[in-house]
Amino acid sequence: MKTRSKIALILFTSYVMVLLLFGGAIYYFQNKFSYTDFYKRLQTRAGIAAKYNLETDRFNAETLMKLRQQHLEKLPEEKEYLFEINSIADLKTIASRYHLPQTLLNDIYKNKTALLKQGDTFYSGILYARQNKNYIVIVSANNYYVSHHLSFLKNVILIGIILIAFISISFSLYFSKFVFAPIQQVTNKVKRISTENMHLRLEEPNAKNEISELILTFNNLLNRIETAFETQKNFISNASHEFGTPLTAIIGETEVTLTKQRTPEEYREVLQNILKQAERLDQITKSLLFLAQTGYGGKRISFERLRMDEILWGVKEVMDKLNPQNKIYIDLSLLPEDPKKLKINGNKELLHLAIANVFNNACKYSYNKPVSASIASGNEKIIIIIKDEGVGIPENEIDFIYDPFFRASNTQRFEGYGIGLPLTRNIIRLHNGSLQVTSTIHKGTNVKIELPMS
Amino acid sequence: MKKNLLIPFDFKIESLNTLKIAVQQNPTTEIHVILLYAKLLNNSITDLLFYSPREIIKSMLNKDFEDALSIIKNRYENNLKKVEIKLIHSKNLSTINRFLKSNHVEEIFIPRSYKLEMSNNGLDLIPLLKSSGVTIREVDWKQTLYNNQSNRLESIFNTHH
Repeated sequence: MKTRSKIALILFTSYVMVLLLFGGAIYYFQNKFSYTDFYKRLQTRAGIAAKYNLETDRFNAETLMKLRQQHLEKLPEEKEYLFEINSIADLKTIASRYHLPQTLLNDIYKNKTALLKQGDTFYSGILYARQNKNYIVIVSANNYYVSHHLSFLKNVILIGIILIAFISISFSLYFSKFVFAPIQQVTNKVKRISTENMHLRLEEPNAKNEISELILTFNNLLNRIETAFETQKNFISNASHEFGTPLTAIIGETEVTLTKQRTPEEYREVLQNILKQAERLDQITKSLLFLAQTGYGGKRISFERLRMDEILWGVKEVMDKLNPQNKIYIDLSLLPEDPKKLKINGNKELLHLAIANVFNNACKYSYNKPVSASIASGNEKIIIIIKDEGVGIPENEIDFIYDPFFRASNTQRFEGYGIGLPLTRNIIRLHNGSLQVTSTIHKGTNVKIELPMS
Repeated sequence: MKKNLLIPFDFKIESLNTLKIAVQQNPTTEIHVILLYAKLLNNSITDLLFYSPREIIKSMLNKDFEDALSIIKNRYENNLKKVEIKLIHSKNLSTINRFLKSNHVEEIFIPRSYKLEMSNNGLDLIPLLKSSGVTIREVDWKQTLYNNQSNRLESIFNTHH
């Protein structure tokens, strides 16, 4: 069942139940009270009747009689009975002759007082002993209240409950609809959003409640999805462009060369150009494949315990061979005293690649100016900071540097495909670490890598 | 041989360089360092009733600062035995002297050219510390010049090329 209907039903049932309880309690207690009250009045009258009928003191008796007539009103159908009882057999005779209930008489005889209700008539009797004789005094009356007022109350309560039941049904239905209306709206709006119009957003309300939070979260989600979508679209168009360029070069050059006979030297030159472009294609393909594998958790990668400083030294060695003009300086000034704090769980080749990328970028974009690579251990993590004095990254482009094939606007003079940094970040993420790049344009760039300690 | 040092700081990473240099200047002694932050408390009774220095310190720490502190601790593990962060709430010289005495502070390290960046309720205690009886050592270092890097982890890695 829909939540809305559930809520309406719950509200309605609880209203009705409370009402029933309340009404029932009122009726019940009023009923009980009226019985008790009435019986008490009857008993008083019975007591007084006994006294003035059976006491020999005439003067007191008359006073009592006067009091009774003045202060005790006559109850409806009030009847007084006085019997002299000589034996139990008398009870039966009295009962039949005066149409009094036998049980009442027996009860009075046994317990000295008794109360009884028969239909609308209430009886109160006492056993009075005087001068060795037993007398039974009974006062009976009709409880007008019970017969009329209470049943009136019962009717009023029942009608009231039914009326309120109707009111509460409509209220519960309206209330549940009202509460869920915003959710219904959100659902309807969201149905309209699809891949064609990803830019649609929900209207953000001014209020600060759960629904507005839901709407804001939804909009954020849509933002992220749209960004991811756009990134994918860009990636595909960028990739095809990157592949296209060397292919165009190869095709163009070979077509031109084949138009007429050339010298062996010319053919050799063309072949070398083709080789260069093919190698470039190969490089891009390999990087892309790597990016895909590291980014999407492809094959299994083996991890082992490594020392991070050794990796840095290893990469520096390779850099010295490939780029002898590099001025990479490995800063150990804040190295932990305990070498065990430099160990991480990782894959040697991938980490090499990641660090090499960062080193390469640092040297390339600073024309081989000095680069410092500091390594230190913090709280359960190893921190590596690579600082360069290069051209920096413009502030408005720094969020895009992780997009594959993105190249900042100030990198036109530098070679590169824009795959290194995304790849590095994926590798670091694979190792449960984080990578953060900060930069000031024309001053330099800092790359901070954090890896969890093993 | 144990030594107790006091270093006033401002919860910024740049100020931790004082700590770094203080340890560097005491390579063989076992040192305990108190990092002191001075903050004026407001007079409201609820604040005083529920005064919790731990909460105040926790609210002023950030992840990078804690990383920087643990880097320094790991680097100088052998002789930097203890680093405590303590708060003081008075500009009164005798209170400060009492604090120094009860913590057995033997030397105070103060940054010379770095100005402590205290937040609005903070007090700069350096002039007062200078007039206490304890030995003052002034230290200096080349500060990082990037404009938004006053509280970055890079601040403790002063690499001079």
